[in-house]
Amino acid sequence: MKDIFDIKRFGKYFASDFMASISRYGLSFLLISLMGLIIYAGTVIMGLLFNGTWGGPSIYFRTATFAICIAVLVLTMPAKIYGHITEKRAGSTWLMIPASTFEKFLSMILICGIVVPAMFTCVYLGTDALLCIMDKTCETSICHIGKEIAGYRSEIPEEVMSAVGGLMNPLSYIDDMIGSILIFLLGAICFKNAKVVKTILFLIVLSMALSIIGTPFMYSYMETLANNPAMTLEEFFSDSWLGNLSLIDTVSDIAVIVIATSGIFFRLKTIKH
Amino acid sequence: MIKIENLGFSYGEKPVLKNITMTLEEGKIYGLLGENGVGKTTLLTLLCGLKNVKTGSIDVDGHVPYKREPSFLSDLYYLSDEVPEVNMKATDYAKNYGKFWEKFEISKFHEIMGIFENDPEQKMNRMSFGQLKKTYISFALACNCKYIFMDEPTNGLDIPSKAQFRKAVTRYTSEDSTLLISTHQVRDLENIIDPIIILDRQDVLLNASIAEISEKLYFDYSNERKDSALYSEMIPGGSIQVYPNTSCEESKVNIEALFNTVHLHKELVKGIFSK
Repeated sequence: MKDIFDIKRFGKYFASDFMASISRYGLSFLLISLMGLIIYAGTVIMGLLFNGTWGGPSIYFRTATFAICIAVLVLTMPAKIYGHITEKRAGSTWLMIPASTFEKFLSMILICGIVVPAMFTCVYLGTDALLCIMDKTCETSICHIGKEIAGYRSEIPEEVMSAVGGLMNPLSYIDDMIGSILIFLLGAICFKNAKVVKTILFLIVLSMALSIIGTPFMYSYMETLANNPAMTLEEFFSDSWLGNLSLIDTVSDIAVIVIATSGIFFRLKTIKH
Repeated sequence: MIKIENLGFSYGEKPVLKNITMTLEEGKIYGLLGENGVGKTTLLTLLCGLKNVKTGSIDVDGHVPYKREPSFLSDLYYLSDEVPEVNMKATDYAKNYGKFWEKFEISKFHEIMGIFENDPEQKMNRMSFGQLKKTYISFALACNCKYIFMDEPTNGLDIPSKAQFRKAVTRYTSEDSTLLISTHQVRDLENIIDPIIILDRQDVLLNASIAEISEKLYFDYSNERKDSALYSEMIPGGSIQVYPNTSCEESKVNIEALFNTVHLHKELVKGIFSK
């Protein structure tokens, strides 16, 4: 059992893995996490230079920037922190560290899937909140984007809201973010080079394959709509699997996380140099 | 003790090691010699679990290397031919990773770095290849492992560093440690390696101690040339000839001449040593 998991050894391994992650990704992490602050400073300076007025970026612009930074984090972080494992020199040294495969796997999942995304979210949203407190032109923090768009909700039928309302909550995308990071982590430890590009290509091929499987289902629903021209949007959502879109999204995200973590563990167990 | 039985390994269809059987005992510094591509590095990587055997088995004190269990890994250090650059000071690297090897001594690491005249405060990604190699050699010896496997450790070292390497290995290797050093540069390691393993394509040509070699072969450094010599070569100040040792005379083993003799007379030498 001690050869599979030992809490003391795992603690030591996690600490040293975290230190190594800082040395590999620390600077990039700081740059991405403080992007909100950099964009705010840029917007204010541009405003002063060209309009002569003081004004920070709007909540919508800052939310879009936040989303782009998440995408950059998802794409770059796993390959930067753990991409060296496929390289002969660094990979051999890493494999020879006296910790079990499960401990190395767990540390990897914790750092990539929880610690770094949580630190990023705290630093980014914390900086944004601080800016909003100090500068009223920034309106409100991007944490409140949900309230901002709530005004549009009254125009959406109740049946549609119950089906897709969960997807409008920004917090519902945390599992998507973790799932995406794990997929790119799997790509980082499987592909020897061009890790990000190859993972994206793999996802494109997978999406094409899945869309071929999904086409008959979509076709049947399109047919339903075509055969019932009087069908309202409310009727359509209350009378089909689309009524459980939020649930389907959660289940598919969990499936992605389970498949990706299993793939990562299997790869670590069988990697050779 | 390391027991290798009928070990076989291939890269795809190309066999590299075939039916290798040998035993490595504790407390010895083995020299693993062989031509390019005979599978020295492959054998080392199989022994430390970086690769899995195709046929046969490897047993290291009851462990199967490929399982890479922590209890096995903490008794072993593998120093590969090419070492990674790390964005850390050498001393920070030693502190950060040394804690995984129970017997690791940071003071020993600093002492060996001192022998190599290497600065432990220097960042590893700013070191030259030789300095980096010396840092990893210092780390390997400071781990105080039972098994240390080194692949071409003197590659990239300058002339003084090679002497420093010999000094560090003889001074800082504990008595119960087994070192397996793969090398082409036998002169760098002469006087420290014993026994010697000579690997050929898919075969072990020789696995014998210096005493056994000296008992079975005679290394003649005189200028008198004899037709019965298995191997002869001109060397500065004279010549060297190798004969089967029929008169039980003692002689100083020249590893380079031994290697060439074994390669010229594979079956004959195998026969001599199997008696």
